[in-house]
Amino acid sequence: MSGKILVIDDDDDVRETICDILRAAGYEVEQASDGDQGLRAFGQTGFDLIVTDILMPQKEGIETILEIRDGNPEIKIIAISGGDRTGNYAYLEMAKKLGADKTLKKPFAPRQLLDLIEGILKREA
Amino acid sequence: MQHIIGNTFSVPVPGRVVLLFGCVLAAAALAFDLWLPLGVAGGLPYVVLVLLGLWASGPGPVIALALAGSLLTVLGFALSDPGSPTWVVLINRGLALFVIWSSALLVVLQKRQQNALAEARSGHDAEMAIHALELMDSEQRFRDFADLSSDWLWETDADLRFIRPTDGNRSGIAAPPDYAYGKTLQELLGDDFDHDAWDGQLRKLQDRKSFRNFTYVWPGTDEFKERWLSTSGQPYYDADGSFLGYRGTGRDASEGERAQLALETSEAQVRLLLDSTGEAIYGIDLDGHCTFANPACAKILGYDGADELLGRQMHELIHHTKTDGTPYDHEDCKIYRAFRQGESVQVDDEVLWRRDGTAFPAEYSSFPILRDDAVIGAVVTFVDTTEKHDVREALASSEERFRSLLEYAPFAIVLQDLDARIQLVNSTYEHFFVFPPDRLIGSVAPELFGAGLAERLNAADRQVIKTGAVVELDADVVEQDLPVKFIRITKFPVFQSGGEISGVGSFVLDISAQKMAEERLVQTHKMEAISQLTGGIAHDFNNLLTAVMGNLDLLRDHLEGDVLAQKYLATAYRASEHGAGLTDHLLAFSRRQELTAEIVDINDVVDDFSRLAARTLGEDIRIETHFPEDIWLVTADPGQLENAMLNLALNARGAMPGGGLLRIETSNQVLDDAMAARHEDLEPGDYVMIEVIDEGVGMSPETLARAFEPFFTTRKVGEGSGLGLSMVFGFAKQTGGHVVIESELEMGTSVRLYLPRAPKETSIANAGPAASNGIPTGVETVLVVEDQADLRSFVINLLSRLGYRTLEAEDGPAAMPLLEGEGRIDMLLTDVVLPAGMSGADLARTYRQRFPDGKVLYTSGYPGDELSKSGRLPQDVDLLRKPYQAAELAQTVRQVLDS
Repeated sequence: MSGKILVIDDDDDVRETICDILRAAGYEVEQASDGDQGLRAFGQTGFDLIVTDILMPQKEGIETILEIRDGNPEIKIIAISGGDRTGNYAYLEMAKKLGADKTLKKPFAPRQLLDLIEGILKREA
Repeated sequence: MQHIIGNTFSVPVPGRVVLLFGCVLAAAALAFDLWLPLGVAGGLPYVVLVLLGLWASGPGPVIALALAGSLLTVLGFALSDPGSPTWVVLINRGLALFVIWSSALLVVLQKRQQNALAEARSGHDAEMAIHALELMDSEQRFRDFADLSSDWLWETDADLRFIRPTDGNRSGIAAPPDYAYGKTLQELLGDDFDHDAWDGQLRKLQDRKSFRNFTYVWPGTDEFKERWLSTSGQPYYDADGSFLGYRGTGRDASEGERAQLALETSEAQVRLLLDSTGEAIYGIDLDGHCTFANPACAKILGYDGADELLGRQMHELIHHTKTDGTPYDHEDCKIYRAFRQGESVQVDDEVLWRRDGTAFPAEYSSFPILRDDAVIGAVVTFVDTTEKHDVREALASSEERFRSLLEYAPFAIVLQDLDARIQLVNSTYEHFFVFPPDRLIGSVAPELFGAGLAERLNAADRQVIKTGAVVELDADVVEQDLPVKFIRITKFPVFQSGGEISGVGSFVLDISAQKMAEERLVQTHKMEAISQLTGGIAHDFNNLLTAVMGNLDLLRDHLEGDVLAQKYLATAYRASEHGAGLTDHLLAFSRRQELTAEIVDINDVVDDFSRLAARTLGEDIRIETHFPEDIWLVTADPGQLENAMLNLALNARGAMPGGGLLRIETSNQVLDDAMAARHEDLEPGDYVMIEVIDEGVGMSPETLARAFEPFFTTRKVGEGSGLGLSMVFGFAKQTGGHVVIESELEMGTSVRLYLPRAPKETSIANAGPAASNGIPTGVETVLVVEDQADLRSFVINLLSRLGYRTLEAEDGPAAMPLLEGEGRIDMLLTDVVLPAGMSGADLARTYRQRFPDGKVLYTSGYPGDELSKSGRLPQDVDLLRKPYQAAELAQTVRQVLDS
């Protein structure tokens, strides 16, 4: 597999694990622990895909997605979340509405994530 | 007596005294002359007679005595024995006569000289002498009068002390001079001195005024009995006009005079009584003419004075028309019965007429006046009872109001006496406790309630009676089958008119609904807290599981070929997946799971489920279903609904270990306000109800109370997660519905799941995924005013992507041209604190002037109450606290727009 992926998650274990899974699958991976870091990393190098958590301190996922999406309509985004929600509205559903291409509910099997990424990048190719 | 003339040589003696004495002396001289043998020869003893004349007050007696002496000299010559020659005797007698007359002449001259001398004295002395003589004469007369008077004469000094009182004994007055002398009346009367009675009299004395017939009681002493005294007096002064005291008379006013006084007093009192009473009184003769009337009578009837009534025909004047307006015939008038039939009459419901033609309700009485057993007229008394009528009506009205309050009060009212016996209850009380009234009145708490409640009530009663304070207590009513379960009793003292506590009153409020609502609220809050907790745990747990499962997967690739390792990894992976299932349930309970919202025909879901359940639950469980054909559609996640059904079915099977009947029914339910109010978070409206009923072991109230709590289970460890009902509860709530369990031990359990009806126009055919449920989008125009450029950009970006039309400004002045533009702005989303001298609140006012029905949503890093306190923000506005998450903003914008 080839492609450059940015993983944004405030949970170190989750982030590291995702990065390991992606690297093991052959992707080039960069990581960031919150939205601000992620945006900085995104500005430096061209990425094919971003995997971002939603609930994060500093800059949360939806705001990050909005900012990345603003001016980068081609970038692919997968939003992941531990299934939390506010009131009647689900974060993942909103993320999808606001710019995420796909969403994935934690916990997920690594295969689910890899299948999603493969699907998106293959379609793009 | 004081002698005024002190320098005379003789003491004047009245003529007759001197003459009498002269007679005696003459007789003695004659006897002496005759007794001597030769007589007195010279007849000199007879000269002594003349000398006696010296004491006479005038010359008359002297001449008379000289004549008597001369006569006796001749008589002695004739009768006595002449011891000497006759001529000697004659010469001696002649000499004696000469001496007699010489002496008489001398005495007379002396008297005349004396008178001339007196006249020659100074005029003053003479006047004084005359005055003194007159004074003596006057004093004599005064004494004579005083001694003869039946009155007691008295005199006081300037200090009003008695001086020179006459002898009171003589006039029958108790006080002798010594008793009163030197004392004032106050000192004389001592403790009996009544200042009130003496008030007017003392004022007169102080003002030096005369007084007449002041009557008072002279107190008795050991020696004298009590007397009534009537006294009159006037002040007296010296020549310079200085006040010297009072002089006056007192007389015994006892007996007859006292009777007269009493009569006068009585008449005065009667007059006073007639004049001062508010009751009208008049008299009539046999013709009905007024013979007298008191002032109250004239006043009530509207006349200027009683004189105007005298001689008038009273019936025609005041009693001419009946209450119904018809003429009142003289013959029917009850007032006249008093003398027609000689009996007293009392009437309390008639009207009398005033001079100005107005009428008033009156009570009157008529009494016959008798003289020598013959009726000569009548006395009529009456009072204007307008006020009494008003009071009676007010009382009746007050009683009616009191009765209405009592009867229509939504709470029970009871009054008890000091022995805590019930005296009065309202109908609500009877309704509350379902007691017949005859059982309530006179009973005490222990006769009506269980020992615990009765003792509490009695203790409260005692406290109220002891302290007079209001006592409040809440109590649960343990008696079965009563309409009330929880009551709040307010006990208060009931006072009698004297201000003393005469009993205890109680208001009894049915707080069953309130108590149950409170309990539900507590339960809701508890569930909410547990939900928050479990939601947080699930979120973190999902992150853990992501890491665990991801790394197990990596390890699996890494250890490819190691069969044993692969086996271990597979087990670990399965456990992780199981954990993921648990977090799913937790999220379901905490209403944080991802739900798809679809239009669902409940009957289809339940029908499919019942077929599945028939296989899953085993042969021991029989399943019956009942579905009405016209069931409404609902919006729900069909997968989660099936999951919920499965949980309920599994619970039912657990409750029926020996097998049994499981009934699943669906029905349409319209929940009105009252029904909805019985459940927290449930809006009134249309619902579809799925009811799952088993005939199993049921639940105790304690178990029932905790049934929805996650991890609460009555099963053995390992047999159940305790998350089934929690998941059902969370699912129902997240779907906008509700779940209710009813259960009794050994009576089975019924779980009713309410799901909100889908909008009426939807159908399965046009439904599709109900995407609108997930995302708060919109098409309205929102003006975003925020001075932080990044944040403003984010908000604009977010809202634009959600479909809104957006306008932006960095501060108030920048926003003004946008507000004045042509298009409608549906919402102002503004920071509270803005630069450029215009706050969010200022901007909002301008916005509202332009768009009165526009919505305003404030954002701020400060809490709302702080902003309100500092005056920067009105209370009760929509405020989104920074920092906010995108979902929160999207949701709040939608909510405010929809409000």
